[in-house]
Amino acid sequence: MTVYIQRHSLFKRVIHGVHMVATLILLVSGAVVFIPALGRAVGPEVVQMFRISHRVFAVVFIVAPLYGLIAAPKGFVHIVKNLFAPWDADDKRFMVLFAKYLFTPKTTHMPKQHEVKSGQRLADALLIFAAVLIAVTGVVLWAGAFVSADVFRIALFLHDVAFFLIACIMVVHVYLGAGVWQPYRGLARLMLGNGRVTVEEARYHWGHWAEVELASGKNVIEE
Amino acid sequence: MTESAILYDSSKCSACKGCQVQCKQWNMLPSSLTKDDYEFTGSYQSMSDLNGDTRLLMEFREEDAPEGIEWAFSRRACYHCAEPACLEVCPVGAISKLENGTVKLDSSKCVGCKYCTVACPFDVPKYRENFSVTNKCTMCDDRVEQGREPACVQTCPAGAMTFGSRDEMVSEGEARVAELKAAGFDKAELYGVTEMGGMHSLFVAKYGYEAHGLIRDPKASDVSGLMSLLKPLTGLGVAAMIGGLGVSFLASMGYEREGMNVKSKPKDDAAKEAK
Ligand code: SF4
Ligand code: SF4
Repeated sequence: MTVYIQRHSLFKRVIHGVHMVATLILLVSGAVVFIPALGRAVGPEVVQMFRISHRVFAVVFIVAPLYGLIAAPKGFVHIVKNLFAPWDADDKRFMVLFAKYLFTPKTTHMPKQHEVKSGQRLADALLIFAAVLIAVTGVVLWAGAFVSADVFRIALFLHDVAFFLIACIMVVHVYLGAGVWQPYRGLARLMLGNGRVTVEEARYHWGHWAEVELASGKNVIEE
Repeated sequence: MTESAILYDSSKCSACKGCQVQCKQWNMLPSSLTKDDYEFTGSYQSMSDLNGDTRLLMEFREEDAPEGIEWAFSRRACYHCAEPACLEVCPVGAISKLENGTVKLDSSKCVGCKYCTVACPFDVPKYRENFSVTNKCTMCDDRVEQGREPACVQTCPAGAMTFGSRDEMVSEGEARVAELKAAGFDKAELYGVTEMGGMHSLFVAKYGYEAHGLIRDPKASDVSGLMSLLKPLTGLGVAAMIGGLGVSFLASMGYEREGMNVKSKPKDDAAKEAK
């Protein structure tokens, strides 16, 4: 028998999945315009097709989290609370050790963590900031015919800055979140599978949170 | 092929707007049919700026002259820069430089992203909403190819525009500036000789650049400079992340933890251990 803790609901996983697909398509379709050599290589018809798909998936990118917010406001508040949770000594120590941990996981012992690791809180905050920035500036660019050249110029620059941030964060996000990195193996199913972790995994990754969950028993599943 | 250029002489221009009309006619660009579509600004200028259907605009300014206040007219259109900032940024290669120096925007290739507008220091390319493309002067390359002058040049009744080899236009412009200076217009200057690498639309500014709304020492917009930095930076950032995490991956090979329900060791190692 294995004991699991349900970490993410089906609703959260579906919103994450839809957003993930939209983000990946936006990154690729955006790159075709962002890198002139790429656009010139594929030609105007293909670029135009990518631009249209960029707009379609931009709507998905904006609407999916907004729908999540409206349909599950409590979940949204929970995410925000976690994001701004005060840092304790373990959180700070986690950040101090993280770089060493990335390269020497076999010998680095990481401190216990709460529901969201301190490093992930930072990454999430940056990702949310970049996502909002890219969405807002994207809307301005879409309305390009109605804004002045200067507003368009600034929106385009900030859109590119956000693209830079998201592209870089995504590499780390996929490496850790999809469990490419050996200590994080198996964690992909948190968002892309059934949303559960075994108690051992939970204790290793989020020690404080695991104890809270086991004590409450609300999300504990035995199979 | 020798480089060609238009020479516009503001001191000869009567601002009749014939060139503006002829540009629209030749290039089949409509004017607004809505009454009072352009807000009256107290000036004779047709509209406040170029737009998707207007590649050439006569601008009206006033300037203090020895005889009192005089008009300072300006021909606003693409300058056909030798180093066109618009060309660099176009993601589909819709903007090209012809052998004679003309900077041509091929609307059949344009995807309407407006990057060229962002890059151009003069905000010349304008979005043409009905067609979802950007529009700007092509120096009537279709006419020039047939040995004719651009439509605006041919129509000018005051002879304020000339078209010919760029070298000749520069000499003519310089000679005219010298004449104007001798006549007391000591601020007279020739615009476009060196600006943006040398323009193919030169401008005799009777009252000096500023009086005619010309940008002294223009440069591609700062934002487009920053953006061109950002592109390689993004590539570098992503490559650095992948490289760094690649090292992390290699350093973590063989990682094992009790209770880990997914093995991270390569299959071969695990099989050997099982034996
Ligand atoms: S004036 Fe602007 S649009 Fe014309 S060639 Fe120069 S940069 Fe390009
Ligand atoms: S608007 Fe057209 S011409 Fe201008 S950069 Fe975009 S594709 Fe090129």
